[in-house]
Amino acid sequence: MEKRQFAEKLLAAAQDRYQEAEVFYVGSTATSIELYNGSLEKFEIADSRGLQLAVIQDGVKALAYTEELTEASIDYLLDQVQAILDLKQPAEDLPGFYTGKDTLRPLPDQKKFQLDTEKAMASLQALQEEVQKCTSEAKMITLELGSSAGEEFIYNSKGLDRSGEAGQGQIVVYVVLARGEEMQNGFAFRVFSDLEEVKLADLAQEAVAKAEENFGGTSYPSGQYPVVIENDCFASLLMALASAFSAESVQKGVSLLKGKMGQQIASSQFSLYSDPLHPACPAPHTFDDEGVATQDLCLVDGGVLKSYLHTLETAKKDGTAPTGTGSRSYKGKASPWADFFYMKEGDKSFDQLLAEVGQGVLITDLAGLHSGLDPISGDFSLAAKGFAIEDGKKGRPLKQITIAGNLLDLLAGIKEVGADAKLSSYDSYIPSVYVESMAIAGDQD
Amino acid sequence: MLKKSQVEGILAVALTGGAEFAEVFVEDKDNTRLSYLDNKLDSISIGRDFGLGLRLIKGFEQVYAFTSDLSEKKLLALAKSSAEALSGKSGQKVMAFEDQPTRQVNIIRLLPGGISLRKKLDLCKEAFHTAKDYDPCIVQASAMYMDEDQKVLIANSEGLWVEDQRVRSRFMVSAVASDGKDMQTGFMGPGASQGFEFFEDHDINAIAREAARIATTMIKADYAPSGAMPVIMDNAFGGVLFHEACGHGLEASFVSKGVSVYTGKLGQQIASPLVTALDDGTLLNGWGSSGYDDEGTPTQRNLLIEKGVLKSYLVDRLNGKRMGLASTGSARRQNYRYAPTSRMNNTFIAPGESTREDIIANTEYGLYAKSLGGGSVDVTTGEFNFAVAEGYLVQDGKIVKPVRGASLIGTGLEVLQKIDMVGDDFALGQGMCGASSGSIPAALGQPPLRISKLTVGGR
Repeated sequence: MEKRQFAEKLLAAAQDRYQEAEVFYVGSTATSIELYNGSLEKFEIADSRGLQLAVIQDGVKALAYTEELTEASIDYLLDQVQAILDLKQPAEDLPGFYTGKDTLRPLPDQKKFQLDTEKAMASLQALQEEVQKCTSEAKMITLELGSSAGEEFIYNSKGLDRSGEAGQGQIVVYVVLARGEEMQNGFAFRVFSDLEEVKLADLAQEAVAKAEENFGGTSYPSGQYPVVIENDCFASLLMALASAFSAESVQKGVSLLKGKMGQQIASSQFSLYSDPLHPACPAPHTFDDEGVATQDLCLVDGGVLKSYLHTLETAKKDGTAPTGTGSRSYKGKASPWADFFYMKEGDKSFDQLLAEVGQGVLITDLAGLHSGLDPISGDFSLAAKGFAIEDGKKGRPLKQITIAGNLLDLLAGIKEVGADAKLSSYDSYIPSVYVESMAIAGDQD
Repeated sequence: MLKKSQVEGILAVALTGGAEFAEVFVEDKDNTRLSYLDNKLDSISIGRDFGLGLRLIKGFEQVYAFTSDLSEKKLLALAKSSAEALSGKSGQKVMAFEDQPTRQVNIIRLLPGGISLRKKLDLCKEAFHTAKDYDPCIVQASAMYMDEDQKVLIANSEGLWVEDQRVRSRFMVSAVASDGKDMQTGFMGPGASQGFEFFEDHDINAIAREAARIATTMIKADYAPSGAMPVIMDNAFGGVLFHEACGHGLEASFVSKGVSVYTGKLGQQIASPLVTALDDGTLLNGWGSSGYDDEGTPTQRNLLIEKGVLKSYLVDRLNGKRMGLASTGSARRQNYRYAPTSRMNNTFIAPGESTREDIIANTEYGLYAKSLGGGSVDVTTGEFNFAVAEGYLVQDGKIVKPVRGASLIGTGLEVLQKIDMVGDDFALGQGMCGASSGSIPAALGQPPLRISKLTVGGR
């Protein structure tokens, strides 16, 4: 069955039985080509979708999903939600489904990238040549070019009817270089709507340079040092902190920002926002997964906590307005999530930050964020790579070190924010920061 | 699912281009997840994953296409566009399908679909209260119930026809302790390829108490020291050591391209002679066990390292072709949206002879990691890291005090050589393992063992 037809039929059936009903659909298609050392490695054609039915009856909300959209699935979904309603587990402060009476901001015009196989192969071959121009030490060159398009719609019995589409292209370079016994890897990517605008030489250079500069790394003596955390790396730390801004975490008592509204939680240099219509956001959207209009939301202003991230449910509980940051997959309920983090930039370049530090450590790579960082306490101990900062410049490469501390102490210790924000692989736009002091561990005494 | 004639039709269209081999993977999977938190039902997710993945291989070129629209028209169109992605004409034909026998590696007694939601909810409720009431310092707890019932059909142009069913159950409890200033979390999450009978073999209250005990211990702990020192890693999830330090590096997806530090080392002494390690997809009811792998090859027990000597890699069909090696039944994928590749099933270091007490008594100064969190590895450099969930400082052969916030880092080849004591008390742990073919259930394990020197990232 066609998806809209399925959704309408399902909604009508659910509306007949329950006080409120909602249908949420997410679909995506993608095509990508991967080259390994110049030859085709993988061609992928993706077509996926999922649909959720949510209902409310007597203060109980129930939801179920399917990926198969056939007549039988309508009965399946209705049976599943009924089984959940039969548990009779009412929620306090349950908001009804959203009416969609708010006004959406206009969506900027976006050119949609469509992958043409022949042109894509030519671009990949050109990129392959660019990488080979940069290095003669390549053990492996993996290149990927793809286009993806997503579609989402929400209908409900309260009159909400919102749908959106987004599409983008992505190109990725991953290289492994070998020097004697030692191997190092480097990675770079661009998200684009017009492939012509991607500078392939820069992309190749970026990935190769990342691998090259790590050769011959050594550990570092344990101690407290001033550090610069490079933009992409700091973005990964902030993403780990995102759950602390979730009003759901705050209400459950598992956020380190609980009870800190209006307080100074970070250095005055630190201002953080969430806005999926930021010019750097690759998949801009005007409403969230509950249908609420997105906004340019200030979370931290000059170090002062200004807002949490809300869903309809958490906002109702706190007696405040939703913030357009409800995120859900078709498999579950909405939770607050940072839609597109961005930070206010400072006025110093990356090199100026290093110059100000003088002697210290530059952190360029962090590993183990899913395990070595506890988002509830904010404590972290993470494997890191980077460089010694010597005489205000990037010095010898460092490996086999860790950085440890607490995220709030780290935010409080930010002395300077760089002017070098960039789109990170964590879907945010974050600059480098200079932090006054950080515990580094290594195997040298 | 699909009839043989339908599958034959799809594979025939897929072979009209240059492909020498075509394969379909059809999946129909029921999922149930409940979480109970804050003394109420927090969420229930019930649903069905459904779709088909089509793979074509020509030489080392691979086309992968997937969809959840299994209408004949859609599938034939998908097969056609997949065929067009490869140049040439192979003339390969689809061979007659031969049903492979059911291979019952896991014995399932109570299919989760036949159990009421009420029973599943009651388990969560009970465990929540046990964890919450464990100690006054426990400020929050959550209990999560999970089951899945995955039916797969794997058929290929060489005539293979495999149907397999994978049933799994898991129960996870986390507890948060607070001293009014800081918060610490404890977690326990056992799982098995079992149905609801899992709960006859597992005491949910013991799971809840263990999670709460870890949180309660850690809230009183000081920060771990930092620097290089001997580290004792306990059993069960301690197996994350081998999983990260070596297991990933033995996957053919990296080895076949020469970008793993273990490339070219078959037959060489790569670990201490005390180390024997295996990956076994056939462990009865093991979390990572199944009758067939996701290419339809029967799973097997693979000896990876014997007394320190590298004996085998983990091999899938395509990478095996590149390496001239047969599949080791190790091809896995999260679902139909991923092409399969070589992965781990249940991976562990075999028991040795020392007792836990001996190991601790023989350690002058170091860290005892009683329970471990997750980790990750850069296969190219061999650099790994993992987090210590419950750690203690050891001095003069005795456990002195709990320490928190430690991570452990090192490189695979080095750490395997530095294992200098291996204990006798073997146990397995369960987790989710993420890589290019998605997130899959994988068990890991070991007896307690000691590494003579490892970098501890404390503060």
